[in-house]
Amino acid sequence: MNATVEKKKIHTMLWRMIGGAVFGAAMTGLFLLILQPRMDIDDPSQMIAIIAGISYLLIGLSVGIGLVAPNAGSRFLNVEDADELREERPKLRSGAIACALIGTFLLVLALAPDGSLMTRTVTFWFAAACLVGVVIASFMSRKTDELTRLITLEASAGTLHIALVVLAAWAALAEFGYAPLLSPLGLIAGLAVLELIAILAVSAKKGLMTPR
Amino acid sequence: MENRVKACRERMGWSQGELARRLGVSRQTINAVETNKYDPSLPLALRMAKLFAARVDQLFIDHWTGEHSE
Repeated sequence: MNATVEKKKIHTMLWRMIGGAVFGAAMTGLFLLILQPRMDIDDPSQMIAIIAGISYLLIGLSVGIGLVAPNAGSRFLNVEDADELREERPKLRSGAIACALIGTFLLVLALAPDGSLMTRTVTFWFAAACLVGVVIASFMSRKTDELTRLITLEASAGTLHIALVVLAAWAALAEFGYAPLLSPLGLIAGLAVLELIAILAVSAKKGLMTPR
Repeated sequence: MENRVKACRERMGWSQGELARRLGVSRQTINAVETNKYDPSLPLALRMAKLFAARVDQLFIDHWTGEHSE
């Protein structure tokens, strides 16, 4: 019985991983196709911001879709059933909004500051509105349970440690002309990517990535 | 750290969701505790013990035996 359950769990996990990878790759490809005319592959800051922006936006959209349609969401999000999504809706909703806004913020700053998409003033205020939205959504999701708080705390600490090492190495290389200079946008996008990786790693360590 | 949370919960006839609701935490927290991936905070451990009418050391098993553990 246990072996059958384990086999089913591994099956579910594999399908979710394959499905997630295919969906992520397809959506990233689509985004890159749309954004290609505005991309400068020689600008590492812009590329990091675009990759981070797409990642955050996709995560926010996936969770958002799962919340709007819990029955479908329970198939691709790692929850026990649709009811769990309904129970966790307030927390997940603000998290999804925050992710989508972080993604939008990074994409807007990466693609629109030259004024070709919208005027520089509109771009500035749009990005500022996204940032205010992130702060509000984060404030709304502060009443989380202790496991979520611990994951956030451990991920943030991990991000800081990794960032210090990565930034120190990058600074040394850049000083000697072996690495390109990063703009403030590249820096914040890099931190956002590291935070995302750290959250996934800590969540996996706590068993949250294991199929339920 | 090992624990007997799952056994106690099943003895009470509660689902993970029911226990999570009674303790005011998420189902994921209960799942992580039951699978030994997460040791709960002291307040949560005390609440669990109270809910199951057990002692904390009956619910959570620490194999540490003091200075002679080596």
